[in-house]
Amino acid sequence: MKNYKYYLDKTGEIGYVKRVVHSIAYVEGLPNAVSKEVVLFECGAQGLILSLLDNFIEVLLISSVPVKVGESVARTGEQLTVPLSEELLGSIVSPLVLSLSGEEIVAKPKEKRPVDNEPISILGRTEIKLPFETGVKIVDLMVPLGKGQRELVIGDRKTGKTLFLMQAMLSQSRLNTICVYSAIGKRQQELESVIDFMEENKILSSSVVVATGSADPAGLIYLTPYTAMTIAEYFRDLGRDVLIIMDDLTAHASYYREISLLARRFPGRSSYPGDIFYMHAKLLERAGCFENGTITALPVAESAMGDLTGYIQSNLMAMTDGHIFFDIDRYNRGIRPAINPFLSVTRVGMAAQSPLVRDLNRHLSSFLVHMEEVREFMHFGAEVSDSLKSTLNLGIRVDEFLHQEQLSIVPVNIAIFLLGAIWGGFAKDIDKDKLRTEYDRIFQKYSNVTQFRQFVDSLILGSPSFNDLVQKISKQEGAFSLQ
Amino acid sequence: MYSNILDTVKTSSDREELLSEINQIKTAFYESAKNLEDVLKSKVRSFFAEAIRQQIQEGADLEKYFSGLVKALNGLDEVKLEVALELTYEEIEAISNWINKSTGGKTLISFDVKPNILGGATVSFKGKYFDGSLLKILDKTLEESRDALIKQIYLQK
Repeated sequence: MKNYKYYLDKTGEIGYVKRVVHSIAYVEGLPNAVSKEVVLFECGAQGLILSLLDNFIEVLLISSVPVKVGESVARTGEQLTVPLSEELLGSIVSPLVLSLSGEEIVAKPKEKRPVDNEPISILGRTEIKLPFETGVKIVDLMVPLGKGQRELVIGDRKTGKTLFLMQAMLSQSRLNTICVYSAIGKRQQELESVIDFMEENKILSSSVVVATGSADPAGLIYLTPYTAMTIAEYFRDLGRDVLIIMDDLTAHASYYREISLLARRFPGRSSYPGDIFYMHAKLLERAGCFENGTITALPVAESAMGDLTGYIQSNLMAMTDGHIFFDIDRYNRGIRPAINPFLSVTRVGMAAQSPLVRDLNRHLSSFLVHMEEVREFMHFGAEVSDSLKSTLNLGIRVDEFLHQEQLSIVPVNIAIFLLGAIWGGFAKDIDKDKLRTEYDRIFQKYSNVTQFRQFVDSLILGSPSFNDLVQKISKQEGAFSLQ
Repeated sequence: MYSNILDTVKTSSDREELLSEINQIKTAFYESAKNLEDVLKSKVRSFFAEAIRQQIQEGADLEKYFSGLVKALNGLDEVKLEVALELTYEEIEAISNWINKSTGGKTLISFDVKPNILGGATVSFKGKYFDGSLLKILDKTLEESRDALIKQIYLQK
């Protein structure tokens, strides 16, 4: 961006700051200013025109440089755009696509795109056909996702949402997907832990982090997911599959509420402005499955005391293609990941799965429901029949199977294979304490032994249904030992 | 009604001064007649004090008179000028007359001294901006003839 004087001479218009209310400045002058135009203050701060009033222009400040009353302002005649190129990969940028210390990141931009872009119309979209692997067994088997899906990740604080997102990023970056992580008003420590994880696992080089901290101006924080989406769209148009994570949109809504209340917008439910649904829906509408590539969106929402009926939470649930619910009760019971499969929903992801996964999903869901019933029944101290005993035994094996260590990922094929083996009776005689070690050994074998991996992959490819897979594994167990 | 007073106000600092005098008179007016006379004698410029005395003699409603005057003063348009040097009274008067003639109404001038513009002035009025500074002329000339100047320097060497 050029300097203040350049724009002053270019447009021949000047304004003066009459009032500053936190992140909103009221400017007099600039007769031909238009809504959403970028303005530049003499001190170097940038602003975004929110609305045009009778005597003033309402400007949202998007820089941390303080603006004083009496300061002069110049129009730029431009909408807010960000420079884009492949140079962005591996970088951590602010919503203005500068480094966190304010230096330029993109030295040779291939193009500039507006931050607030219009979503592609239905004609440019295609059906969600390909599965999206998160590396988390319970998600990939119980609430499977498709590439281009918008799945809300919802749960209380500290229930493992961010850990799940990191697992999904790790899994996807290994499948050559570009990851765009937008940290919306995050604390420095939280951001650092995500970046450290990305660096340690070498996924930062195929990712872009758009970050704002809680100390940044509300205007800049508000822009974070929009810039992230613009970057995601750029890579999508290069033909890449992109995963965008918006962590989190409840914080984003709070900052937008702060801006709207300062700008004296009429408050609606929970004091949020009336257009909050529109703001988020327009943002999420930019993700999806397109002719060029896909943008899979994982927006995050924070709930309070496991309540899913909050205003922003229910809004986001209404505009996404399902949600993964992190249950605080399950978390407190020590279940990891604390995802509640019964309260989680996937709307289009199932259609992108193979018939085998769909069939497995049906079997596993009905089994887990049955297990819950049996466990409830057991509370009455009922006498246990042999069939119930075997169900309970299988339930223990399945519970242990669904358990997953933090930040570990499991390829979906080995997860399907192992579940098939458990269903067929493998591990029925292994002690509960040794189950996790045994399962981990098999996952390691899949990663390290090419022959075994090929065998598992071909077996899954050749199995049209779960029963068929279970039979095949049971028959071949002798020939190809899991030991 | 206020033209004789408004004619004396040429710059925004004149306006500030007059508004401050109005405040002092308003405060004194509600205290005692002696107080008012003291203020008119010692804290208000003579032309304005005379105008107030005349209003009192005519039995005018001073509250209404002042509020009308404040409104008229605040409603005046303002031209902002950035100049390189402090201007003399004669120069301000000449500029003010020219601006009033050009705009066809009473317009105040607000001065800001910025030595870095070297000479000339920048003007902003009702959101429009014009840079007529020497700095800009030099910048433009340098930009246009940079290559020729560099060439000349090399030839001299």
